[in-house]
Amino acid sequence: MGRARVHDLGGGRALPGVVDLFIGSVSYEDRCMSVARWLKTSEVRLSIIAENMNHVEFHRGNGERLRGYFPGCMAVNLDTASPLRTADGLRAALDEVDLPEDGKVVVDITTFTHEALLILFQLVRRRFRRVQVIYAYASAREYAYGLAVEEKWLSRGVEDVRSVLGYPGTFRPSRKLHLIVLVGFEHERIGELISQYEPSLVSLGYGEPGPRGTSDHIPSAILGFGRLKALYGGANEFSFPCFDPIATKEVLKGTTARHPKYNVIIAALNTKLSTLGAALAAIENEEVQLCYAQAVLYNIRRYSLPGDDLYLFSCAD
Amino acid sequence: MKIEIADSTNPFSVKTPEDLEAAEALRLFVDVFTDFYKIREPGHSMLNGPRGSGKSMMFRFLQPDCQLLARNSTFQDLPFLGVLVSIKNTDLKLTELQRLEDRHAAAVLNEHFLCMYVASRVFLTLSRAPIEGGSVARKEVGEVLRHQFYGVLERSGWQRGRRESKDPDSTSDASHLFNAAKALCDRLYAEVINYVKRLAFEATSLPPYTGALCGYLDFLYPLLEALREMSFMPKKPIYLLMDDADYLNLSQTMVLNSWISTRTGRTVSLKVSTQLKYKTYSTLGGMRISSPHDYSEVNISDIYTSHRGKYLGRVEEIVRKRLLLAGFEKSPREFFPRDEEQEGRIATIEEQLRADWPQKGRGFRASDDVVRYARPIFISRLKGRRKAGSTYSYAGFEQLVHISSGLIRYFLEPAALMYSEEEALAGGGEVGFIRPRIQNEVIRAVADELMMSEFDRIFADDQIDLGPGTGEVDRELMKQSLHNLIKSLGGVFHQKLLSQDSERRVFSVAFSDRPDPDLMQVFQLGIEFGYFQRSSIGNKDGTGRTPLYVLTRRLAPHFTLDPTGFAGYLFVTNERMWEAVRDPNAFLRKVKKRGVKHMFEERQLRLFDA
Repeated sequence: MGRARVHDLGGGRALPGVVDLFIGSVSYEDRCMSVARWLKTSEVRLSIIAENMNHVEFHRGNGERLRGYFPGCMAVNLDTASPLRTADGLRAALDEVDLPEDGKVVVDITTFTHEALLILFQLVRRRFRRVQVIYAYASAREYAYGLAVEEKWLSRGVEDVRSVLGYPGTFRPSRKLHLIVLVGFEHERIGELISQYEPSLVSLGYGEPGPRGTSDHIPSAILGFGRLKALYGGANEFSFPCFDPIATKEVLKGTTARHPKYNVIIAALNTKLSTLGAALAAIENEEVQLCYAQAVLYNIRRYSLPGDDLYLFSCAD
Repeated sequence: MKIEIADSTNPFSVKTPEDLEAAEALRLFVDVFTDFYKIREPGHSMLNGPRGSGKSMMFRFLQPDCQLLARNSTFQDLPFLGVLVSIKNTDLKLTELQRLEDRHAAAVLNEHFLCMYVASRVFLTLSRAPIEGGSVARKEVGEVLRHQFYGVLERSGWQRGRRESKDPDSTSDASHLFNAAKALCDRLYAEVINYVKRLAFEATSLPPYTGALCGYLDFLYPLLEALREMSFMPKKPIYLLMDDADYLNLSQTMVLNSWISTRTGRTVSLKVSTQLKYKTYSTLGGMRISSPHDYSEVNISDIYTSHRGKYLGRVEEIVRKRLLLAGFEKSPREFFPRDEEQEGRIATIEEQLRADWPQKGRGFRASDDVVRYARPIFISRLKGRRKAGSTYSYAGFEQLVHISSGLIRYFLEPAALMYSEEEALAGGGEVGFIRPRIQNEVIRAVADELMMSEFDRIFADDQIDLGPGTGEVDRELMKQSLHNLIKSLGGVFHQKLLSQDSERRVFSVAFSDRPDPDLMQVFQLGIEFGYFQRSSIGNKDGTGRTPLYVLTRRLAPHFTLDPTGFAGYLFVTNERMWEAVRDPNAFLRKVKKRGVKHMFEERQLRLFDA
């Protein structure tokens, strides 16, 4: 496991052998097809393609294109406004699948929403306890492409903040709140989270410069970070490797452990891989709650350009 | 704009009231209870206001530690016992609980959940209280807990574990006994969460719940009454300060309403704060609670938009205290000075207006013309000289207060950014005040961000394909519609400011005909997002009242409007507003060509100061 190039999928170098089940999600981002485009889909036995039905009009035909790579796929309807509908749809689809004990599941996590990914992660863990599950993430060459660094934006406003289904945490009413945020571009969302939760303690994590190309994403994140510090001066800071779920999990465990007598909420707003790290941290420590902040508006026209890098992660790592 | 940041203590940074020590809270607190006296009186109350309007600070002040300091009294002599029950967004409103909606278990389990939450906070407060009375107090506490807490819990289905195998330890002090009770409430609360976790991925059948189930009338209220009767307690009501009750789910809200409807207000008063998103006023029994029958209601926005002078005074006091606490000796007006060059030029126009009033005056007095026209004339002359017309400066304490639109948060947040900018530019040196240039730049950036200027870039070529009465409007389209609506209205108000009309400062619209439901949804979304406030005025026919939609003055810098006063409103029609929503650019070109006066009917608004 680790890092490869997306086109390594084509030669079978990245993921040799048959894929018993492929799970992917349609999106307005063309990255939703990065993995499918290169994967040897003739060696995929079964497939589940999920799509947020309340956003179909923004997907510009990507649904048909993605499903086209997997004839006979199971289509699952998700809903960004209804986590129950999302969970029930995914669960129903997974319940239909029978896999051999030595089977292999590939989940393309690239363009699931953070919330749907977290829900799916729990469902896959419960459904496929012995099967090998590989989480694939296709990188972006650029976010908010075509915009100057200081003008880059991916989302605006916060429509709703809710706990993620399956990660309610175990709070004590008498305790104060520690909000931990894995910061992405969306500093505005973070400000809204802090404003809504009024935590007694805030820890803001920014992604470490990773492999080639990723440091280009950093400056705009720092700009927003600075603004947050102006408004909420007492925030703690930490860094985390945003392409390594296990290391992210360890960083989060450490951040939580440093302030033991707090209720803890983690908001994972960085890469999907680091979101898996947050999931692992919350599963290992059930007192931690994960929350999701749904944005009002997404930069659907210029969200990202597909990159060349592919990250593969398995919980067995 | 890029904001420079430095590490230091910013006098305007956000402070969570709950985390303030009593002494600091007192130093910062500005007594607003002359405006909101009902909150301090016994009886249930609802305190409504947007986030950042000071509700939590009020509740913080009502807690016993602040009250003891403020009154210099003993615990027993307090006029009430305030228990803060701060409801964070996802403390109680767990997504898993949605599985119970529309099932009979929802009400029962949610009430128990809420009871444990409140009881835990009650015991936390009492564990920190300066209780006198030594062994007598200890014995009383032990008795009450034995009968009214542990005993009732057992009868409600709680199974006493090894940890609670004995009765309350008679050798522990009162604080220790309260802490043990608090710990048990926390565990029972956690038991509900553990049950709820099992619901997460169960679409159909519910697993059985085997824990305790407690309610307000059989558990919480009798417990509070018994606690109140103890000899060391204030012989006055207990106030449960339910902060941010919008964060309860629907069932929990109905539970709380049922509590309010029980008329226990003289002994246990529920003080409920909301951010204007309270989900329902229905009770579990299907009745509706209402004001003043069941509770007194206080709307912060109404008070401060109706009495703007009062708001200005409040902000001045709050800022003065913050500056003092941070070691600054300057007054708020000195710390946020005006652009004196600009004000000098406006003063020249004012003098001219006074001189011209006898011959050409429009207002009843010369001062009326000065207030109405000086600033608009200055702005229009700027636009005449330079193409952009955007060099009007919004610097100055009073302008910033007006722009904050009646919410202290919208003053403090930009102020924090301004301070941080000055601090970074000072590069380690001291900040003496906020320069007008920095004030203007930051407040304009904040306004532009509020307007989501990127919308233009995204939707530049799109026109909205909507029509009146088309039925359900997709929410995404509604967001685009809202942006177009604001863009159009802001543009119209700007045109009005530049016109030669008798009233040029307009920030509000009312409908002269009946707007269709889809358009109302767009306005409602605007209210939800804080772009509009809703008020009411007499309708055109004089037969009743009609809603008035007031654009937030936070957008004044974006549209180059005069934030210091708005005495007029425009009557609009359904058809006109749809034009504005569908194609704001074409609409604004039409307005510019024909003039605002010929497109809309204007009215004077006596509600506001001139």
